Amino acid sequence: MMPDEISRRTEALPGEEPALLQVEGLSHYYGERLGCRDISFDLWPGEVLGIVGESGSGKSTLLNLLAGRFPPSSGTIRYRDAEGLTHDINSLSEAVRRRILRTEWGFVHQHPRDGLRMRVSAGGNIGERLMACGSRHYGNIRSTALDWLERVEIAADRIDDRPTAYSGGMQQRLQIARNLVSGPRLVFMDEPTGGLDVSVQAKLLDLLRQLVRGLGLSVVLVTHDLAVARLLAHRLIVMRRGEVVESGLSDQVLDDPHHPYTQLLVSSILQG
Amino acid sequence: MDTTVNEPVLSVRGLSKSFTLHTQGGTVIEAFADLDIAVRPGECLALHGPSGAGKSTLLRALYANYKPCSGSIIVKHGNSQVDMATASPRAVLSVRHSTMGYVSQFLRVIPRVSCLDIVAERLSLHGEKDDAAREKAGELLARLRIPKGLWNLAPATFSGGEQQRVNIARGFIRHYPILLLDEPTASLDAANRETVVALIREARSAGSAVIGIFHDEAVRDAVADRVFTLRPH
Repeated sequence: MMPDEISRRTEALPGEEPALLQVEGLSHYYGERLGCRDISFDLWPGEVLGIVGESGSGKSTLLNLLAGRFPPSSGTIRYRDAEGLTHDINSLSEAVRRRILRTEWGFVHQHPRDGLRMRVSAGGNIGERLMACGSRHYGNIRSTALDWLERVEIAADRIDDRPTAYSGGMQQRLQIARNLVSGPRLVFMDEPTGGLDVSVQAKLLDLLRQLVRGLGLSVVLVTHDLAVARLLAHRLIVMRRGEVVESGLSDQVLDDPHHPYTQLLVSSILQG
Repeated sequence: MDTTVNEPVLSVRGLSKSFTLHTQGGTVIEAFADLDIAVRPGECLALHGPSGAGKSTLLRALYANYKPCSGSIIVKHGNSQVDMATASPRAVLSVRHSTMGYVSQFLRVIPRVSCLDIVAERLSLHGEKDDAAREKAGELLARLRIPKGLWNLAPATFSGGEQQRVNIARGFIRHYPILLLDEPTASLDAANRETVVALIREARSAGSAVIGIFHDEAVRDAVADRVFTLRPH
């Protein structure tokens, strides 16, 4: 109904930093097949943007494009780094790209095994990310790792265990700790609660909500779970067949959906 | 003397809202049309009308939870003015953060968060220290007769009346220049109803403009100085 809303350029509010991510006309084709088409939006500091839609709607394609995991067929993604320099994500030198990936961005995968090193201890998983950012002092790395295990509610005496000895929920919390330990500014999340039992999901959601608010993180969150989107995201983009069909304030999109597809999605939620 | 004191903090012009139900054959439901409302600091406006007249829908539209079809909702937000009908999501969130409070009929429960923290969060988001925020939250919960034994529990298992009082505490824990109340006393006993009446009066004395739906006539008479009548379509 209002896909133009997403591309509307809004100026920074008074006293606010400029946009962190500026996406314009982003399209991707897998050969002939459409991944996503003509996506434009800005992401602001401290903002959590939810991308919702069914399987195959193009939301994971969009997330991977944003995170620079593969180049788009057309369109641009501009990122403003910690020093205030703006980069075109798809024409970065390898050195700058690696620096941003290591120190300024995080990526939380749906399956912890895609984001963790399963043969390395929990402490090692967290420490590795710190070492990639330049930490060398073993004692500091270990105490930071312990601190982060506590923040994601993993007992200190599990620090030397491998993730294979952890439950699914603990693995996911460890993956989150590994991503956040380096103090990233922007975190991409792909169905972070997707593979978990409902009771474990609630715990993780609450934890994510607290961490994101407390750290003032900017997040792009892909989820098919509208309850997760409502709880975590300030703003939503609804995708269908690779295109944005509706966008806006999260509770407005969910409580007063305008596009037929969004209405169908919302009316399909089971009442608990 | 401050000459802006009597300026409306909320001005509604030509506001209309209808819903088009695409999943039900495109049925159009008109909630209300062409409303004009102005509310000044310290005033309390009661929305009146039969069930289905659009009272709750109007409150939700003012809070930008529903998107109006036409018209404007101009809110005095700090030194600026924001039209809630067309504002960007970030501007709406900024208004909700500091200018406009809303007590809905039902508490939307956040898993695992204690009722004390649900209330205290409204203060800590404005920079209050956690301990001080919790202490003030506890005082208000006590005033609303929520037993101390429940403070550290998540409200998912609370009774309807207890959840409603947690919701009220969250709405009244800090000063909002505009306060929207949707049946705040609906499931409360007489003693708690009196407490809510007192809270609304205190908010008005502190300068809040209140717009509310009060099913209970005695409560309405006790808190409101004007009535706005909506007619069903």
